[in-house]
Amino acid sequence: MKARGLWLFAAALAAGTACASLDPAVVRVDLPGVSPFPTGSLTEIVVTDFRDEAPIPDFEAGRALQAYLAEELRHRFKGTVSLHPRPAGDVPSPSEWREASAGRDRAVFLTGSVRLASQVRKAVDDKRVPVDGPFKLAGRGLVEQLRWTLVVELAVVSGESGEPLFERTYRDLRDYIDLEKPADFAFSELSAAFCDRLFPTLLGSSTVEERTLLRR
Amino acid sequence: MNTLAAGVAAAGEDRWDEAVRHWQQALERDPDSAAAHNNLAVAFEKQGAIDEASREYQAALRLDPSNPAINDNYRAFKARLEAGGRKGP
Repeated sequence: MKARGLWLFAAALAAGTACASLDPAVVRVDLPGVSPFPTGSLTEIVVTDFRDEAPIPDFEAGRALQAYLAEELRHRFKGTVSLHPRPAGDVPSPSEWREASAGRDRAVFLTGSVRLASQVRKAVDDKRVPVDGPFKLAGRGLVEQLRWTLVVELAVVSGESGEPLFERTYRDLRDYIDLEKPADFAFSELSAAFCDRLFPTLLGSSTVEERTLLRR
Repeated sequence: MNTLAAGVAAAGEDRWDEAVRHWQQALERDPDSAAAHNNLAVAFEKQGAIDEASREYQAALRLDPSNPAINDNYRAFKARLEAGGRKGP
């Protein structure tokens, strides 16, 4: 009887071990970036000037964004990066994009509109305000800040079909204590933040994720 | 050790090419193996072969639609595609 019990215990243990070895296995997998563009489908990125939705004196945000994007892309994209004027009209037709891509191989256009705007805002600040009266709590009060906002409505257009492949709106903002902070300074910071969010999407960036593998 | 488990062991040691060979053998023996299709989908995802991964996940789900692991993998795969601006399968 005792021997039979031992045999049953051993059989149960073996069965349990066998089941465990057939359990699903969760693995962490280094996955390459997913770009809207299939691998090998893209050899040239053409950056157009961007339609300026809120022109400000002495600063052309549309052209500045074109130059900034092209410069950054040249460091990160292995293919050709070139500049091209945006076809006339608010929404260029597919045939206009196809015409602009004549002589280019597997090109896409980065295009769209940009809005760079500033606004003076009041904000509560605990540290920066000096005591300026007998009834005011020390170091607490309203301060004025200059908020610069950059909104980019970006479209990636296929040179082959003239149709948009990808469209997204990006919005970034920065607050400055210096109310005289110039547009070009704010633009430089805001466009860097914009590119940090755009490029992983545009060119893909790798991620580590969990997946489950099955043994039976 | 069956070919599926052998593939999982190889993948666990980062020998994914060997893992794929095991899972392809498993499919030759049993074309209706949802597990083999699922594992191949993960391997294709790792290679960046999005279309092939999508096809394998869908095959796995057709064969075993209620399998929670396959469903979880497929959901995560689709979320990654959408985050990358690709249209979902």
